[in-house]
Amino acid sequence: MRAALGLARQGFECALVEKESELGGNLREIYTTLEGNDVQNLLQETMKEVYANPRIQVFTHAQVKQINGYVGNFVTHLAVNGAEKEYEHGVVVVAVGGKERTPNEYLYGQDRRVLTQRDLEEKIVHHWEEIGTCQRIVMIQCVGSRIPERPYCSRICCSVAVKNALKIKEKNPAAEITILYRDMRTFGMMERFYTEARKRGVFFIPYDLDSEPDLRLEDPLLHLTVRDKILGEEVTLEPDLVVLASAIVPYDNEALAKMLKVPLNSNGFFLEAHAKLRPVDFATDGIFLAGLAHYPKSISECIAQADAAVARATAAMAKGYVTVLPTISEVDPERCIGCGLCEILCPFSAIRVVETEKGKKSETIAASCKGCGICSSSCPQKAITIHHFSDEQLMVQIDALIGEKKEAA
Amino acid sequence: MNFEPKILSFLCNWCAYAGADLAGISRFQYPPNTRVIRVMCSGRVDPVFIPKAFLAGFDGTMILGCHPGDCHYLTGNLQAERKIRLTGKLFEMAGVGSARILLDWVSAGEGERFAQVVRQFVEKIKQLGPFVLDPDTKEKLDAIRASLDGEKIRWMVGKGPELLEKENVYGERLPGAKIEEVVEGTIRDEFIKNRIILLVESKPLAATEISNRLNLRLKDTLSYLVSLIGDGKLGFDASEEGRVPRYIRA
Repeated sequence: MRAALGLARQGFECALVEKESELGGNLREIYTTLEGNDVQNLLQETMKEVYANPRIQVFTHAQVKQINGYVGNFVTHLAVNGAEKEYEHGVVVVAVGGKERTPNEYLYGQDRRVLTQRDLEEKIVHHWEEIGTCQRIVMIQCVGSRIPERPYCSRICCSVAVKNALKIKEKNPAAEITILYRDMRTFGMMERFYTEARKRGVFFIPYDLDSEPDLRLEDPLLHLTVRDKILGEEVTLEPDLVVLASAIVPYDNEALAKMLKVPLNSNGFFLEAHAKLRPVDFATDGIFLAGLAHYPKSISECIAQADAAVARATAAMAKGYVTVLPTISEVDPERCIGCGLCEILCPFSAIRVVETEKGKKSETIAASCKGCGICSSSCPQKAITIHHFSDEQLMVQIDALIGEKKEAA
Repeated sequence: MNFEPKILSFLCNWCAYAGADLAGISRFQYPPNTRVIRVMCSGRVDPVFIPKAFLAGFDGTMILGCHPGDCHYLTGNLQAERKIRLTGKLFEMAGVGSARILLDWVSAGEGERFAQVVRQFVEKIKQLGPFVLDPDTKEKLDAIRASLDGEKIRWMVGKGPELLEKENVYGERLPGAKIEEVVEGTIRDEFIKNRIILLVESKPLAATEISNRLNLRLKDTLSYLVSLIGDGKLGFDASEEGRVPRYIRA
C-alpha cells in the first residue's frame, strides 16, 4: 500500500494486486508496536488513502497468472475473482509479504496453553479474560529460527516478546513472566524497553542451542525445564501459559519467482541484486522488492523499504526511455536453433526464445542486456555476437598481440 | 638461454583489469611478459580462444576474473570457471597438458596480488620452457579447437549447471559426479573424433593406421569411425582398389 501511494503521489498509475479479499496482509492482526504506535489506525488510514487515490487500481482476490515483457514493457495476466484481466505496466514491485510459521515444537497445537506471540497479541486485545488469570507465563524465543534448517534470525520476535510482556505486566502486574532467550535483540532505540521490562520484574533466562528448553505435559500441569546458561544449572518452571516466538517464513515464492525470472535465496526469500549497493533492486531491470518478502523486518522497516522501492522504480520510469548499452548481444537467426541455453544461462533474463516464421529463435532484449557475453561463449551454434567484443575482434587481438611469430619447429 | 615467455591474459573489465590498472598506478613491479585482452566478463572468454592462443604462438594463457560471488554480472565468473576447468581437462586428455593455462580471481583493489599472480605464472612458464608447436602438438590443438567449437561439447558444458541444480526432463535428480563423468566422457570422445577427421583430411587412412597413429585399441577406433560415418563427417575413399577400406573426410 505504501509503495502504491508513493508511486501514485509521483504521478504514476499503479495496480495493487492483493490475493486476499481485503488489503493489509499481516498488518490486520497487529495492534501495537513496542514503541506504542496504534497499528490498526495506521492500517485504516492507509487503506482509506489507497482507495481514495484515483491513480491506484486495487485488485483484491487476485492472482498473478503470468508476467511477460521487460522494463518499460511488462504485461501481466491476472485472475481477479476468477475473471481474467490484463495489465500493462513499466515496473513491478514485489511486496508479497511473509507469515508466522506454525510451530510443531513445544506442544503447540496439542495444548491450549501454548500460543505463539501472534496468538497472544490477539488474546490480549480481544480475549483478555482467557489470559488475565495466568500467573506464570513463560515465553520461549528463537522457536524455529537460528537453527540449522533455518539459520536466519527473524529480527522482530524479541521486540514483540518484550512488547507483550510489558502489556501483560501493565494489565496484571502480579503476573510472573519469564523469557527464555538465546540472544536478546531489542536493537536500536528499543533497548530501553528491554531495560524497562527488567525493571518491571520480567525474568530473562539465557539458554543454548545444545540445551533447549524441555516442555512436557504432566497432567494437569505443564512442566518446563531449561538449563540456565548463567547459573549453569537446570531450572524448572510450571507455567500456565507458554508463548512461542515463532519464526517468520516466506510464502511459497517459487511460482512468482519463476514468472518474474528472479532468484530466491536458500531460505526462500527473494534475493536482491546486492545486499549493500542495491538492496531493493533485482538483478533484472524494472523489478523491485520490499517488505517481508525480502526478509523479516519491523513495520517501520517495511515502510522505509517501500519508500526505497518507489524511489528506484520511479527513477527507472521517470526518463520515459531506457538507454541501451552499445555492447549488447545479437542473435543470428540463421544459425540459431532455438535451443534456449542462452535464456537459461543469462543472469539478467535479457535473452529469450520467441516464435518466428522460421521457428523458435533467440532474441536479445536490448533494454535489459548488460553485455557480459555469457550467452555468446556458451551458444552451441555460435549464433550470438557481442557488439564490440565479437569472436572475430578478440581473435584478431590474439593474433596481433603475439608480435613476432615463433619459428615453426 | 634467455627465454622470455609470451603470455596472453584475458582480464575482466570490472575486477581483474581494474586490479591490473591499480598495479600500474601503484608502481608494483611485475615482468612485462603478458599481453592483455580486456573482456567485459571472464564469462565472455570462449574456451576456443585458449587453443587459438597456443596456436598463435603464446607460451601460456591466463584468465583472471572477479572473485566467486562478486562477479559484476552475477554468475559470469562461475560459468568461466566451469568452461575453463573442462578445457583444462581436454588439454590433459589430449596430452598437451593444462599447466600453461591459469584461471584465477583478482579483485579491483588487489593491485599487489595481480602483480604477484603474473610474477608467479611467468616464473612457472619460464620453468616449463617455450611451448613447442611441433606438427603433432599443432594437430592436437587443432582437434581441441574443433572440439570446443563443436555444438556437442558446448551444449553439454552449458547445460551442466542446470542439470546439477535441478531435475532433468524426466524429473530425476542425477548425482553431480555422474554428470561430470558423462561430460568428461563426451569431451574425450569429441576430441578423438575431431583428431580422426583432421588425420584423414591430409590423406585417406585405414582403421588400423588411425588406431596406431592415435594409440587406440582397434575396437575403440572402429566405434568412433562408425559414429563419424553416422554423423556424416567421414566417408569411404572410392578411388582405392584393394580389400582394406580407407576413410576420408566426407
